[in-house]
Amino acid sequence: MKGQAAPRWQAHCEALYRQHATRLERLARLVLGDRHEAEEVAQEVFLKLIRAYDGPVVPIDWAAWLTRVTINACRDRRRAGWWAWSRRHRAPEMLELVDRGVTPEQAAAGAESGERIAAAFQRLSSRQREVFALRYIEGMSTHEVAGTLDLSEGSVKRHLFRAVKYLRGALGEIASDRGHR
Amino acid sequence: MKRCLSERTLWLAHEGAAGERDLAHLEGCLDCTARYRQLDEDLNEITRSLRDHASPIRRAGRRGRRRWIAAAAIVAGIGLLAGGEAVLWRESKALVDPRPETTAEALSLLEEVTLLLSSPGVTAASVLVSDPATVIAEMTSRDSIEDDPIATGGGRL
Repeated sequence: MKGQAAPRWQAHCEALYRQHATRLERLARLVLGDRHEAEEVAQEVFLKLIRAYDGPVVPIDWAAWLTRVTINACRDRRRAGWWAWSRRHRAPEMLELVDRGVTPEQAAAGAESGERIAAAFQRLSSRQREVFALRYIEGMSTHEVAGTLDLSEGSVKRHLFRAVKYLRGALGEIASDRGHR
Repeated sequence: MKRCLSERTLWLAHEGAAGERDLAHLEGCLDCTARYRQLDEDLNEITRSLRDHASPIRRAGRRGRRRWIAAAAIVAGIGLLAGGEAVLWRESKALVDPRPETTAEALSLLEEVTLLLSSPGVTAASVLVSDPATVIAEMTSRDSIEDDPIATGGGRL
């Protein structure tokens, strides 16, 4: 029975990987603020997927399952002692200058503001980062975010509003700095 | 006089969670409409920036280079430290350790003892019993006799 189910399961796993790997890596990178850690988390999540289930495919919401496991994996990493140490001694990641048909000055200014927004995002609390990433980057509803993070909707809204307020403040500072130049 | 919406209510309206009265105010108030649009633009910019920043497709940036520079600096530092330590150790050893002189003395003594033992008529016992200076003098005189062809009878041939 298991032998017959394996190829189907494998195909399902591959499809899930193609569909969600990039999304989950981006989510982990936002929550953790580290590209290498995010890559490892994404790999870990898909290993858990394979280990957790090797029978016939059951109809569950795999996108939500993967998101939840990713968030939990990020939390596990944050709980490690070395993680707290490394975060205190780490500079925020830098943005690449991507050619989007803009002048070098515009690209540099855009990259700088993106970098500053990313740095401001990393200064949010871990809960605020999780909530913001799930709501605005992953496009979940506040109800879904509450379900994924095991929080009340009111709590999600509170964290979300604080995060938005802080990030808008950072954006305003960037805009005023641009105006002074 | 109508009171304008607070930041939180404005954000709740953006989330689709504001009350009917607040929504009605938003529709009729130009200031609040402008603030709402600004909130929407800000959120779009923040979201776009974070999406770009966190995209896994981008290559390692300056941070990767920084890591390499830091690692190279650490390795160079360790090398310098080890080199300096080795130089200091050698100098202190040369100042404190009297072994080079001792080794030279020991070598010369060993050489003398070997010469004595290898010369005919000298036994280890006689060397140990007699005064080394006397034995060396005896041995030297014997050598000079052996080397002399007349004294050894070689001249008769």
